[in-house]
Amino acid sequence: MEAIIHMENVNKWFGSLHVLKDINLDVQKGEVVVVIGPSGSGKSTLIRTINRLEEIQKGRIVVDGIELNRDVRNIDAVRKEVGMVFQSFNLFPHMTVLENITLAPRIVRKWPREKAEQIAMELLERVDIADQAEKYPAQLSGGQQQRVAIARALAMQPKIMLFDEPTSALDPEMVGEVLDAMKELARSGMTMLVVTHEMGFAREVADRVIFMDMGEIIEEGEPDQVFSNPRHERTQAFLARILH
Amino acid sequence: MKAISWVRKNLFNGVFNSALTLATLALLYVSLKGILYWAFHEAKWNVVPDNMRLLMVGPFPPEEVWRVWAMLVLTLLVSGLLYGSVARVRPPSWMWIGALVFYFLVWPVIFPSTRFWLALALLALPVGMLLGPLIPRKWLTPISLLALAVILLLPTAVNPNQWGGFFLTILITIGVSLMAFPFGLLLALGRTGKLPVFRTLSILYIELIRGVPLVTVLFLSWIMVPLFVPEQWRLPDLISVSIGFSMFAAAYLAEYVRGGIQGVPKGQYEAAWALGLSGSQSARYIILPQAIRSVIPALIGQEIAIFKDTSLVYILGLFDLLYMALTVTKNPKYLGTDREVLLFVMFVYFAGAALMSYASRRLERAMGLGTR
Ligand SMILES: Nc1ncnc2c1ncn2[C@@H]1O[C@H](COP(=O)(O)OP(=O)(O)O)[C@@H](O)[C@H]1O
Ligand SMILES: [Mg+2]
Repeated sequence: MEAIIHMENVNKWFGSLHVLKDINLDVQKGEVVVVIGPSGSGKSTLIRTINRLEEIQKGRIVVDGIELNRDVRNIDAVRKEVGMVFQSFNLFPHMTVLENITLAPRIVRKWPREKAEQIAMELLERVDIADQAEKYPAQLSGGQQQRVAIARALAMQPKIMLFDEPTSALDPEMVGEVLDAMKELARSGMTMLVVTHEMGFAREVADRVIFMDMGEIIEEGEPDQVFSNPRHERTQAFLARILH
Repeated sequence: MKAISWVRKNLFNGVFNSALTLATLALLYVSLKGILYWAFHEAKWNVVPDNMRLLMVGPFPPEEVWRVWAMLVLTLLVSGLLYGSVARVRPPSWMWIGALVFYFLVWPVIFPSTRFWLALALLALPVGMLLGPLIPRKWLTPISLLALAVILLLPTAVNPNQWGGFFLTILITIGVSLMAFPFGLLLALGRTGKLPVFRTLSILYIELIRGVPLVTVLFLSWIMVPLFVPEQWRLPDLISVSIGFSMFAAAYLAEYVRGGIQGVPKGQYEAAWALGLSGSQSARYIILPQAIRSVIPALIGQEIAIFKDTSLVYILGLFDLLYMALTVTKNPKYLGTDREVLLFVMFVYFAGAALMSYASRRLERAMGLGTR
């Protein structure tokens, strides 16, 4: 079966800093992949290459059959199919929750307002904050904002969702509500690539865990295997550090 | 007694401070006495009401002055209408009372023909606010557009060379702002954008303009702009000077907007791109709205600067408020009234600027700036 994300010998430099080294990664449709690794190991950069927020210098990336190259049309096409949720939410502060969610469907997908709003309300229902639709982001808690951000990304009806440490900026009591929304999404069959250190989440819904260090994929496998029985000593050292 | 203890604590705490307070009071008395005596006994204030028409509309033909009044009344009425419809507030009582008090204060010094129009103008804003909520929203746009068309048509029956006074000052302020804003926006986008050619051109333009005095730009445009249009058109000076003024103001506007653009966090761009928005869509829906909101106080400050700087056009022989004021003082009948007239001009500018900065504060609060 053709992978929905195909990365082949991907290399990226920031100036002279080699941040992604010969990355080879295939993600199947419906697969949930969790990426872990120490800070600065290149996790964010890796997932940001998939919707071309970062350009790569060597190798190739194919998303749902579309080759990511300099062609702007391809980049646009990929971005329509890939949703992203950021650590810092990045909601648009000058728009209400409803406007945040309907903006892209209306101007990129050219849906009429009624359709966009109807789908937005369904999504807000799904992440359990339909009653906040008319509020501005600043009036919401962090957990609520991140759920709005998830709904906003889903409104474009993407085939793939990228999450970059979606719960790291949250107060501990709000982590659960965001993870619940993500678990529900994983079970619905969404293809997900998630950078997170929430082991519980990974054990519960991930099909695969990838450990990165210094720009390389060091180890990958099923969550139980990687967490309980890491093969590589760098993985062992990292897990020992974050579990204690 | 709070007041007495405050005076004690702040003004008379110690020998030196007491002496200083007394000396200041004495100085204030001596200088103010002269000014107050002049203001109430010597000053010939009647020069202001006597020449009010000249100061307000300049050489505008007296029988056509109703056009200016009508423009004013329409503007206030529609503003009230829009505000009342959006904000859904009834006109506050101070608006009615203030209008009434003002009307009877000036009653004795204005001409009978003016009384009718002044009454209309004073009533237009609160009446508009009252009517606003009663009008269906979908009518607002057609009504405003119709009013705007009428407002724009009204003065065209009079040759622009005969426009003058405070009326001209306001026209220049509005015209210059309207032209400068889109141009400034383009420059800001050019300077922050990715295209090297546009960036270089924008930087060159902005830095060049900001490095020269406004008067020189006004003079140059006064001479140069007519060279760019066909001879038979005979552009009014008003237009060529306003173009130069706008080009000047745009450079400053651009820098404020650039500050706003650069203040928008990178995450906002990334979120927009990740959603599939193109560069120009991100700019239009995400970046510029936030950038402009954050610099509204600065933009209104710039607006006030434009308003005050319009006084420079008198050098080029445009009959603005200052030009008319100086003309009045040269009238043999009003010889030696320079102080009265200039003080009045200053008062008019001050009142205009104060009004704008008040509006700015209201606007900021309405948009919840700083609380996002
Ligand atoms: N825009 C950038 N410019 C220069 N260096 C960067 C940039 N973004 C990230 N880096 C560097 O690349 C490396 C990998 O960063 P990142 O992908 O953010 O790591 P992680 O998400 O695993 O913490 C780090 O050393 C970081 O400092
Ligand atoms: Mg990161």
